[in-house]
Amino acid sequence: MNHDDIKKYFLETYDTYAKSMFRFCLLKTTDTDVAKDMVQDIFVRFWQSLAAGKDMPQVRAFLYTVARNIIIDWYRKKKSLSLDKLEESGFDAPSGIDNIEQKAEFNHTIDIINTLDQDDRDLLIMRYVDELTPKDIGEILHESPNTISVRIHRAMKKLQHILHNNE
Amino acid sequence: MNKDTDKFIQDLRTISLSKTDEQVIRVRLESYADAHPVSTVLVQQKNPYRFLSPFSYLLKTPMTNGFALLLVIMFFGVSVAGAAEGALPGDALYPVKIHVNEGLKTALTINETERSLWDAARAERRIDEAIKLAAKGALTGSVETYITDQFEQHATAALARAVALEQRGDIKAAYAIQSKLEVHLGAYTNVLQSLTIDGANPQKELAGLLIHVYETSVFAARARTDQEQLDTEHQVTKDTDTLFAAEQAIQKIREEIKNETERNADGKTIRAAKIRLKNAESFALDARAALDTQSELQADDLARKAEKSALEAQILMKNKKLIEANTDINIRDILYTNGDIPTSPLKHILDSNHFEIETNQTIGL
Repeated sequence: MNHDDIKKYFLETYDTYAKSMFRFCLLKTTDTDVAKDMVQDIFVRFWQSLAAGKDMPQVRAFLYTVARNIIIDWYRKKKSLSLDKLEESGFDAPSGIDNIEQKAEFNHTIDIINTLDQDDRDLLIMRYVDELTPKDIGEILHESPNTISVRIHRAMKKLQHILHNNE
Repeated sequence: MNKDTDKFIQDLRTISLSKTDEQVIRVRLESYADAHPVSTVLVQQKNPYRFLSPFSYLLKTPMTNGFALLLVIMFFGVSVAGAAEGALPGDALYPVKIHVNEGLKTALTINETERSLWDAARAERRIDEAIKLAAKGALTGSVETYITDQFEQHATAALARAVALEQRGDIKAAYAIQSKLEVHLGAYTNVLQSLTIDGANPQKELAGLLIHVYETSVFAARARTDQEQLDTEHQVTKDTDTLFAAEQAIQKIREEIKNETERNADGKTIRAAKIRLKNAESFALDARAALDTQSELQADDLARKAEKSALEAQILMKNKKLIEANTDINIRDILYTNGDIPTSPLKHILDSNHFEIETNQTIGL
């Protein structure tokens, strides 16, 4: 494949996965600008790998793995803005969410997802929001599909418990 | 999925990148791709062995790994493997320790439970190395990253095996592994916290590792608690294994401190270890009392605290020489008189509000 073919494939992949990557990063960082920067970083790394001729049969798994690594790096380097402080200052709702009710709903959703631990959050977002199969998730997290299924089941139980107590 | 969770998932799906933002990033990426055409893009491959040793080039592939093992054994014999045990990242013998000593043991450990415990032990070995390097002032950024990555790999493998055991119905083994990780990594968390926060010149390069160790310990604790809740047949709490492990750890550190005291050895490490031993003994007594009153879960919990305190003392004594030699290190003495232990060490780091790992960057969750 020449440069133009690879670029076409690259941009098609971006069009397919940009939204889910953004959602994944936003739910982990609760910062719209950071999440947008991360989406850009994820696809820059994707381009570098494509251009270097790396074989990537599982593009989605690759993108999630890169996203997770970028998020981990961000956690390790970011300033000491604890979650509490972020919560106090209020989350920055993504553009497109304009009215107060929608913002309140967004903040409530973020509040609930943040009561789960990071791993549970990842699993539920990947499985139910981005609709990855346990096999896909297993490839990203380097675990067997069975293990992932058990963990998803447990995470879902926790979420149901939280939602029940929130009523 | 019930109605609530269904609605919640639908709400999450509405979170999306706006069309404008999506287009802006797309244009930037297209420019980037044009500026870095396929033929000229150079992706720098990270070489994980770059700081290891002159032997490192032998260990880049599994094929050469075996060759290296054979070569080392042929030329240097078993004594090299023994000498390599004390090697640290950057030492010439470190690859022997990792790929020969540990590699061999990994290959020979077939039983899943044993393998999981060995993974956990390997994770602890990486922490020990980090502590030794930090105390020598030799824990550079790249080595810290390497050690942290390795720690995470081994600890994750141990936890994953525990989940697999649980799935196969071996709840007791899974529980024992999770409990061990919780206790051991909890002890390391407390020691790392002391080294990272206290003293005139805190060992701040350990902060990244501290966070990973702490988080893994919390993860293991949560997995263990989940097991307890699912354990309707009380398979895991009706025996006294936890208390037995705690009493063994206490006995070991008690003898070590006694020997040191008989040699009139003194210093900040022994003083700190004695305090931790006292805490461990106190928790163990409470655990025994709880067991006598049929409060198995409470006894189990107190026994874990006892073992953790005893292990803290062991880790300190294991690094005694280095800690004593480094005047910047100050080990805090906390006597747990209220029968409980402090909560998250990260909260302490965040509250201390002074702890920087990079210029103008501080640790946060």
